[in-house]
Amino acid sequence: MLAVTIPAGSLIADDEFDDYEVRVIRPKYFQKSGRFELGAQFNAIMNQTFIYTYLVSGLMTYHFNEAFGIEASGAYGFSIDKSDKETLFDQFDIRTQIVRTEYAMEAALQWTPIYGKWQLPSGQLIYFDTFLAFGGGLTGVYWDYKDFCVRVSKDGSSQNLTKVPANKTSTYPDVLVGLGQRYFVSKDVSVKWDIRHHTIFYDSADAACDPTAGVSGGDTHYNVTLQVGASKFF
Amino acid sequence: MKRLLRKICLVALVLGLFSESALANYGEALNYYRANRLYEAAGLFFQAKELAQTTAEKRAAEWYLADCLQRIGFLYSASKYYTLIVRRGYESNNPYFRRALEELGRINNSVSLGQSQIVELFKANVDPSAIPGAARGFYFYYLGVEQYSQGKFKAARNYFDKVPPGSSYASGAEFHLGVIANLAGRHSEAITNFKRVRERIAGDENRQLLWEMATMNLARVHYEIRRFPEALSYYGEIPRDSDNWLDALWEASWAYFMIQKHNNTLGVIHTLHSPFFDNRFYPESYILQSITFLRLCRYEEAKGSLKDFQKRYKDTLSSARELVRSFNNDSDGFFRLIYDYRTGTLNRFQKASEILDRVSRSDAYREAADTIRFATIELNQLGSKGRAWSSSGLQSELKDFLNAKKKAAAEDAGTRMYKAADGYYDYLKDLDNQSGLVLSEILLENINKLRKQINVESAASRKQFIGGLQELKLGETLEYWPFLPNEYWEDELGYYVYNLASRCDEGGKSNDK
Repeated sequence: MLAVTIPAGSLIADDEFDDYEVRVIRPKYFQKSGRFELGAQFNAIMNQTFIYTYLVSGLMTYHFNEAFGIEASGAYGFSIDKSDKETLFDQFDIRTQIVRTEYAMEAALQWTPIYGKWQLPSGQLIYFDTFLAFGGGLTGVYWDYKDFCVRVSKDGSSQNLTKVPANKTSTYPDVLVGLGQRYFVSKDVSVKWDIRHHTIFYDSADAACDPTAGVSGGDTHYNVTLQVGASKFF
Repeated sequence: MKRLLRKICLVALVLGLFSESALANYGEALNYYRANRLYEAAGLFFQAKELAQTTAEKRAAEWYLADCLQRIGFLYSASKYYTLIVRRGYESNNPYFRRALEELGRINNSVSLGQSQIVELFKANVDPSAIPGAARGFYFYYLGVEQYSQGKFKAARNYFDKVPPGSSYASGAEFHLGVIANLAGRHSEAITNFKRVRERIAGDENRQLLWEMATMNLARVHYEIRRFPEALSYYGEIPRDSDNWLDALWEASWAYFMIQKHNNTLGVIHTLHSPFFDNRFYPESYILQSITFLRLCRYEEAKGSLKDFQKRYKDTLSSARELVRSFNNDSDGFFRLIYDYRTGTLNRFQKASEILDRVSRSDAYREAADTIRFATIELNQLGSKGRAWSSSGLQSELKDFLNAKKKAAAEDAGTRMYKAADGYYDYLKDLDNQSGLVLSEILLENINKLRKQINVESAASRKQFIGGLQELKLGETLEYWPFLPNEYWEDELGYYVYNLASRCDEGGKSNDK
């Protein structure tokens, strides 16, 4: 069941529900207007074939009203190789260029068009809202050149295929769009999840094994993150 | 002659033995009492009380017996002996009078003794100065209640005024003072009384019912003096999980009507008519719904409400008639009927279930059910733990007392509940007649005459109300949920507001006629 929230004072002018003969009108259970939301989330990048990347993020959102808010977030994490990556190297000599996301600092505008509730079989109600996020920021990518510039033999010795640059972390701009929900466990606390699509604009030269080869230009990388966490409102 | 002498000697011997035995019992009982072996002590004190030769010893044995029973949790049983002591009055040969009265006050705070036992208790003519401080609240409060129930409000007020402010009975006394003040038309004084009751017991879970009744009465006094928004505000304080909540909603619907908040009136009635409350008895809500539609010049809907009333209560009326006929002069049977209803085992009078439900939520039933429950617990304990008392006769005496207490509670409650049920039947008959009359008037198109008879005011109508009996506050964020036909959500009950425009033109005539 879904509802639209209306600020008080517009009661008379309200025409959203003119077609309904009977309506429920009451103070909103969970009010965000003019409140700060502080939260923590666990993030997993879902669209990577050869590594797992996990980040922990903190976020702060200021809600101007029930519909709009601005969010700032920072995330830091690490990546773990999947076994598929080694198999490709060893058996098929396929070198995979890997963008290892290490951190992100982003800001986003949140728009919350939907406020609803679920009723559990026990009769208990759970209120939620659904929001969209649009924004951008900076993403730090860790370049581990061994990923695609070095072949590791089975006996453990390695053979350089090119002159491998030193590993480094570089920061690139990104834009994001996301969709998420907050489930209100009390009038101050919510449990939330988001799915976000981040487009990272990185320098192609950073991804090249030979920096002297003159490779330059921009390229894009996409991260799709699933974020799960909790937040408290102040 | 020899035979006679032998008989006399035998009697003397028996008396001597009994006397010796009584003395031995009392001394032994005291030893057990001091050793905190209270079961054994109680049995022996009972024997000593029966057999003691001196009044002083009898009195002491009686007191200690009551004390033992109280300390091992037989509160009603203890009250039997405390009551005997108190009823004897304040005399020099009744040294435990004051202490017994104090203990009865304490017991009554934990398990209500019931009005009938208390009335008997205070039949003794006692000098008020003999009442100990700790029992003054209990004593004067119940004297006040007795006078109040007889309609002697001035005498009742005098007694309630004497309840000490620090007593646990002070809030109840203040509440009654409020009711008496209101009956006398001293509304401001009544408001002060009820406010004081609320302040005194705020947050005390054990006094929640009294807090709610004080709040309801504040609302009613404000309604009576036509301060409808204030009345609504107090009605809105009754918690949703309370048994009084629907009553608060129902009374609030009239307050809305009086200030011409017709969409709010209809919204509240929408809750009362929801399937969640199929068994609740608010027949007048259909009449109010109908006249509210009349105010909005919605004649078809007005007729619809009256037809709904007749449809819903036609069978109830005949079943209620049968109910009051069947239980005239059978208060015990009526109590059992209500008990069966509450326990879900009743398969008769199903069409009158709204009235049965209403009656079963009364104070009379609640008090009697408590008394019966506590007495049953003690009876069960007597069966298991009280075997040591069977030889002394204590067990059988307590059994008789507790069974009589249960019977008296059931009969008293049965009488009060029957009277209430009879009243509801008459009320329903009246409403049935009224609905017929209003419907006839509508059908005869005497609409304007009817509308003029409905005297409402517009002084407070500038205020705006949302659901939940709440006034609209500027800056507050609201949520709207549309009501879809037959889609009732439990959390939305009480928050409905209709969205109907009036169809009356300036002259008060219908546009659709």
